[in-house]
Amino acid sequence: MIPTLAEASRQIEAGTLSPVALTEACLDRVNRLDPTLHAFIRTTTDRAMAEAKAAADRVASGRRIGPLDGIPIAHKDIYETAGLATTAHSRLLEHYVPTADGPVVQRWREAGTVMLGKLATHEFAFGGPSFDLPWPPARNPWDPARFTAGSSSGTGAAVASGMILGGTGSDTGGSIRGPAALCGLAGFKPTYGLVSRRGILPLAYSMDHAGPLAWTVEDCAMLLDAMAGHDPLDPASADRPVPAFHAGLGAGVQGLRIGVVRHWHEADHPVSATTIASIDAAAALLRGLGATVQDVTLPHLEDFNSCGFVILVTEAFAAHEPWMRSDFSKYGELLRDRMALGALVSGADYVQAVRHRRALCQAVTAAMADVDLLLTASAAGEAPLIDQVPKWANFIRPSLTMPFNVTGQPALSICSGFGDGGLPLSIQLAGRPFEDARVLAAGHAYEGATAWRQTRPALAA
Amino acid sequence: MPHYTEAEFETIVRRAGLTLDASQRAVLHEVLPAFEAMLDRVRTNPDASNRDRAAEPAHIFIPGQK
Repeated sequence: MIPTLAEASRQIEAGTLSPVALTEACLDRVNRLDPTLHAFIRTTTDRAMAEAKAAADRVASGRRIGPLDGIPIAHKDIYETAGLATTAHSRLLEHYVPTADGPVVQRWREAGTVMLGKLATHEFAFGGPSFDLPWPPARNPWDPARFTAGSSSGTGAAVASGMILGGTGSDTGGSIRGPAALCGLAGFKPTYGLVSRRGILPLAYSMDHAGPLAWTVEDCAMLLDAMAGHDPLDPASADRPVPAFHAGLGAGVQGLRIGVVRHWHEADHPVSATTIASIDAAAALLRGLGATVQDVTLPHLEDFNSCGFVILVTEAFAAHEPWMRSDFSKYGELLRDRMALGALVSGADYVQAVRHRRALCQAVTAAMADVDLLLTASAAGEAPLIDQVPKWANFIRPSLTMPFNVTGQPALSICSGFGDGGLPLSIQLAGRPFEDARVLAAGHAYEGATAWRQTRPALAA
Repeated sequence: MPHYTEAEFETIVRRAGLTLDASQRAVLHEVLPAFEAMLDRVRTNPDASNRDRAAEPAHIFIPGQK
């Protein structure tokens, strides 16, 4: 039985679970499953065992740091780690070794987490799944022939299979919520500015968000408590009080007004019938827990998709311009082709996209005067086969996750059941900027009223 | 919807400083219409009305802020 992060933390606190035994169990799953799942680019076994023993010593001597002390985690390989290669899953950074931890890595280390290694990503958090890189793409623990989604692909695979109890992700167009959706997890993209982006290799400066993935919303809240906070060296970091997310989970949904953005998942990007049914069931459940539920109308999903994609590729091309000019062929095919589109955007096009962004933000703000949360899909349905993922998905159907990268609002993907193929389904909840605690409390209430968290991938049993 | 000619596309690629082989050029040229549709879309308001000339970008610049 794989414990949730919260369960493991409580057992460590009670002295019924040793951080050493917990870490050994996770490393055993890494050794057994990762040759199939490819979630890790690099494991740090010796370091993990040393950190687990140190955590065990602290527990034994009554000096436990806090709820994350002794918890096995890992970082997406765009999070810079001192003395440990940070590759972005790219040939270009195959031998890049940062000299300092980024703020999130540092905070989790200081919280006593046990780091098991660095996790697979889509190349530079954008191009994937790719089969022409130095490491293979991560695979879905529910069915290794299936896609994890990305770009936090390794984190999704590692958490779902119990190799770690939580991990870092980044989300520029859905890269936390996508893997959470297809791997059956909770994945939370906080409000832009709540978590420092410093020390995380950038994709698109104005759209990048850092956040956690874990088995449950409660686990995500515990991890976010140790991620969020002002960083004066990140120009986008918000200097404002940060609530206690885990402590606030009990707020529930009583009296909340939830708006279902039905036209997004039924018309603008029609999702599977089972996903629609799970959204309707979630709406009914939340109503039963005391929320009021109504449909809301927002701008067409394609407006957010186009706006976000144009900004994303333009900012990404700017970040990578020297390498795109000098080392184009060192990138994987998917990333270089997608990012090259940014070279074709004029200055005026980019400004129009950013003006469009403000209009979209205003439209959502106006709609949310009448509702506290938005409910829609976070993925089209169950995970597709990994070798059938379209290269230009954003051109085929508009992204369901991009809207909240455009607006910067907090957004959560959680498991909402299982489809006809036995693979996870998901819903997405979003809140107003800096009302992250409300989103997490609603997700936690939903999870507590459903049984979806009782089922792990058979491969991990 | 505007669509680049091969010559126009070559000019843009050259100005961007990219060195593309024939297959890479072909891939980008093939998806350009879809990308151009996105660019067209951001030139309009969400409600498709004319955008006020004074409508500001979302980026914020506050003098003196780090």
